[in-house]
Amino acid sequence: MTIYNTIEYVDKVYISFILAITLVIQINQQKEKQKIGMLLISLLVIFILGATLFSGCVQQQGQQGQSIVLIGRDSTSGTREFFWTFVMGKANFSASLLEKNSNGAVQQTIAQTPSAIGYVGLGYVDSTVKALTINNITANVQNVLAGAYPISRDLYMFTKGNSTGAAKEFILFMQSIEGQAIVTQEGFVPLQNTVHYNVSGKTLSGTLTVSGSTTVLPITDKVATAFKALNPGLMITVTGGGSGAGISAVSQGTVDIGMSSRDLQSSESNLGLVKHVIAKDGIVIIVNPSNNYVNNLSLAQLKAIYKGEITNWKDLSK
Amino acid sequence: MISTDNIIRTENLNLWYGEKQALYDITMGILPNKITALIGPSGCGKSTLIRCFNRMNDVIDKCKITGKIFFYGNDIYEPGADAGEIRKKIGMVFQKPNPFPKTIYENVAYGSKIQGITNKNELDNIVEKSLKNAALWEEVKDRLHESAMGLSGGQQQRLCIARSLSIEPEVILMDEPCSALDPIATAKIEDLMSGLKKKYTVIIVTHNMQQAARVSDYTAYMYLGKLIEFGDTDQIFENPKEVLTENYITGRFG
Amino acid sequence: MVMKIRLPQKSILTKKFIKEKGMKIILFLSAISAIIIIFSIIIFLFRDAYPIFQRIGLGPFLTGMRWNPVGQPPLYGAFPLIIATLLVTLGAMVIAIPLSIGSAIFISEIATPRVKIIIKPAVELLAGIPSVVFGFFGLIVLTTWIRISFNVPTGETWLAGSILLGIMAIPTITSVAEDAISSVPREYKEGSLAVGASRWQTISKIIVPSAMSGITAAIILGIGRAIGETMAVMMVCGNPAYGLIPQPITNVFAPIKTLTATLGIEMGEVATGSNHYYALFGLALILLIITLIVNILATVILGRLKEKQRKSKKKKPVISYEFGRKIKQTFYLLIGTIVIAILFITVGLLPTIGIITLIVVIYYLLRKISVKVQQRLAFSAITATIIIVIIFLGIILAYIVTNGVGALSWDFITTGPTNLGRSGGIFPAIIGTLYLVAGAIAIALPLGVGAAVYLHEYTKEGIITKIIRTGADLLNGTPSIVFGLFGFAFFVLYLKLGFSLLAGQITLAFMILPTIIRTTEEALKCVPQSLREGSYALGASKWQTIQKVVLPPAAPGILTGAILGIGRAAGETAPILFTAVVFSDFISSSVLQPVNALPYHLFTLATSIPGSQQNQAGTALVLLLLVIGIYFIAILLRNQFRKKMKW
Repeated sequence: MTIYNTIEYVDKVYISFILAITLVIQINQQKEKQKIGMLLISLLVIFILGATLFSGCVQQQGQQGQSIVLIGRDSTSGTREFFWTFVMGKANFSASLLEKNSNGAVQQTIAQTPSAIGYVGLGYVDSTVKALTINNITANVQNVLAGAYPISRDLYMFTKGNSTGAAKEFILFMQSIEGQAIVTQEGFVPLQNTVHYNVSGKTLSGTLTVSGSTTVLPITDKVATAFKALNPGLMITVTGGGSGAGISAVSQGTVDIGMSSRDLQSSESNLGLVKHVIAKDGIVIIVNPSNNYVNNLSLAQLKAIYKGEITNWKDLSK
Repeated sequence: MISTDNIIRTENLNLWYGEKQALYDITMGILPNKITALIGPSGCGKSTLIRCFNRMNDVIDKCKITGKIFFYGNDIYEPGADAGEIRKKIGMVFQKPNPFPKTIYENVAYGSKIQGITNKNELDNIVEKSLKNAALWEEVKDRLHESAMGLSGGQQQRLCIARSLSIEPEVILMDEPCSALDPIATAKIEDLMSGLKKKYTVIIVTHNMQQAARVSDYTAYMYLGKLIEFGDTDQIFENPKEVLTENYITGRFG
Repeated sequence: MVMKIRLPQKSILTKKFIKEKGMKIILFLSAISAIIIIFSIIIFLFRDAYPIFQRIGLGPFLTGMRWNPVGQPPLYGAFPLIIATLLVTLGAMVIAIPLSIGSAIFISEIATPRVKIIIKPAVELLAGIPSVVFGFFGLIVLTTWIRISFNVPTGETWLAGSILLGIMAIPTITSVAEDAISSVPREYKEGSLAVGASRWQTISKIIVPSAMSGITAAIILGIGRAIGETMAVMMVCGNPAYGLIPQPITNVFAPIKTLTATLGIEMGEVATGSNHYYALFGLALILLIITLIVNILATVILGRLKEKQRKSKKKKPVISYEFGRKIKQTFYLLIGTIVIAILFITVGLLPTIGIITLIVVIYYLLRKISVKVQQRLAFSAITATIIIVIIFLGIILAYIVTNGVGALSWDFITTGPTNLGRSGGIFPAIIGTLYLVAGAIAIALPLGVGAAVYLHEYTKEGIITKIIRTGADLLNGTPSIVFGLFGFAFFVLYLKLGFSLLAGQITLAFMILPTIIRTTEEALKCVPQSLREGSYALGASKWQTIQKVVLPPAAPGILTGAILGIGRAAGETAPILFTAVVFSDFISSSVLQPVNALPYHLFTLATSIPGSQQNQAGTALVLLLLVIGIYFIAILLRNQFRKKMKW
């Protein structure tokens, strides 16, 4: 991307530009001699400013490896909760962990930041980031299905009480072979032992609203499109907002189905919600493509990194 | 009154505010150590004229001037002329007392401080001398470090006179200095003026004909931006040459 | 009046009288709406924050050093978040204060009228850029610039937040400071020039000191704006876990997590009714209290300024002159020592000596050089500040226009998004924004105009108007994210409106209400008293006079206020984040359904949808064009209005 290449020069150009304009304006206002004096003073100012602004860059150029920038999810994220329970063994994250409020944000930050590491759902891996293998096992659908890939979890939909009507049909469709095909297509891990969706029933009408987890959102969005094709009279709206928002919305009855990438918390257990597992997801550890230090991490190394015990990439490449 | 002794002299002075011409071809000379009064009805251009003498009109946008004003033979509107230097020599007291929102001391010391005087004793002396010259010292010597805003109108105006005296100008311009004051304060200022002319040249704009008659040596009568008559005060008031002047003096005007 | 002379007993029952009374009551109710709203906000925040204070105690909540609501055990320490908020604001002020005051001096004292006509609206346009657009720009450009230029691991830092907030606070500070400087009486300036002072001496020694209380108020208002800002800060500050305080505390390259960012990130996914939920309301309450204090301070200072202008009061100084000087000296010495100490800790001994020598040398050089050169240097510096501000504006506009223009097409604005917004258009978001704005203005305009009419036409200045105005000022200073939380607690949960258009519209309406009250009052002030007297003299009643004589000439001014309100509502994200918006491609058909909106669409694309760069910039451009267009119309209208209104 051109912006990252040009940006190195941009600052210098802008500052020189500001000073040059100021200078020109001031010099134009003079009528007589003092121009040279002004010029000298301005040059001095440019020099001092330039020196103070960029001395920092010059000094720090000496390479000492790169310190690791830890990227994680915010404290209400289902993905974070899972990572924290499973990888960290409920030990505290390093205090230097930067919190992002979505999988996409994590992926985007890592694509932009050379020394960053982060975790996202399987569906969020693309060419702008590099996926690491864990214990030499690649994060992909087969390995998650086979149970070989160590970091995986379930994705859920919640209904208020037992699902009925359109919501019931929608969840059934999602859990069917047809729905799970879309799950696979979106890069997530399908459920095992599924059956075909029974299309013989009469078509549905009315409205169906779904909201919640940003991890589940892409799947639901696509499944909804397919489901609508079967039931032209049904209007489905799918919205994000996060697992917590989805759960609270469905428990208040504002939506029919809440999506979540985490199970219910203790404070939510008495809301009368029914859980439906709709897919599985592997959590992928990603780094910037320019990262040449590592290709593989052990779970112990990963934990050490996120606990803040390993803070520099060079300590891993040895 | 054009003579070689003139401390200030104007030649064919014209002034426009945007499209509107405010002064027409003013040619006059001011004699040193005298009090010259400018009189005339409202809007006749007398305040505009006096503000030309220290380039105070520079502050106003769209003000254009042609003609010349000489101070000791140097044109003050010459391209290289420094308005600040001119104003140090030609001080000004305004219609409404305008002390700065600072202490009495700071008000008087301001002019010297901006000229780079920082020695405290020197400043103390300047403040004391200027306040004495403005006949204010006795009233304020115990509260020099209180706000000038607490003074009465007359005191404030004398403070402003002290402020303009502090930088030892040669000319003092007074733009209706008593119009916002009561008769007692006015009398004090008038007393002060006659004392001032020993050291300074005073030019005063006034609405009050009696005041002009009382304090000035020379009087100029202006009407609609033109200088109608300029001469000895006694002559102007007792024996005006121009009909317009006579009408104004005798109150037949407007 | 006329009626009194004719049978007064009978007239009590006339239709006209009832109408008059009724109108007065209606107007009174709208006038007190601002107060009611601010109190409901406080009450509802407190209601939902109370459980956390009860469970873990107010002391531990305020002083706890860690914010880890999902840890084992969960920790709710707000202290690092409060510190972070203050640090980011401090940094923002270091950037904004010199630039804004320089700009204010330039606009009011140095610029020629022709330059002023261009520069002033340009600075005001900066105020029109929505905060989410700032955040988008910061996330893509600013953080990358910081990372590369300063060679730090990540650009998402305290510095990035401070720069962005600084830029955002510039228009607020500049416009209030410029008002203060412009209202310094011309007599002071003339008095100073008359003793031979140069223009710069006059500005630095007379004009700026005289305007000091106004400038202070401007800075405080800027601080209020910076503290309450959410979207931009949330997008560029990094948000470290537990709200880590920078190590050392002067490390501007440390990521930082503010109160507003914590609310913005965590509120969306928190389980309602959990301790975490209550703790977030606790944070919102702290935030509200900080901004209330800041705004009350500004109101008091500005109020005192107005009083001072009305009457110069005689007052004996409380402390003697000599003692005052000693205090001043000690104070400067103390500040100096602290600055040196900070320098010493951060950069070490040698650079500290170097910097101090440099400052001393420059100081003495400046005193040696002539007044003329001093003035030239000062004017250069001031011109540089305004140029920097204009360049900030230029960079942001240029970046968004050049990147966004590629995405713009007829299809982009008339079709819905596909593939989660990576492709397709933004039609539902545009419609959603229009719905939200239309509803907000439909609610806020009558309420605001009614309040202003009551304040200006029905009451004399007194304790009631003072309270109402303070209420409006406080509402104006309330952070937008606090409106969002209030909307969530009150409309979405308490009134059971759910995530809905209606909840968003009312929340936005509350937010823009003070703008409309203020501009309407200004417009009413411009209607000369003689018009009203003329109407009364013909026997017209109060309401008739207002309706037929006062409101028509004030209409353009009121319209300006309404347009400014629309602009603000269209660009805000935080208030609708938890009340109305969802990332979707459908167009709501009832006010009880949620909507999508442009700022939220941009926010979601920029932070959650990788691979949507093209559409991010396109959305930012559309939003920018919309909001800036609205502001531009308002500025034009106001200028036109001011020209005409010289009676």
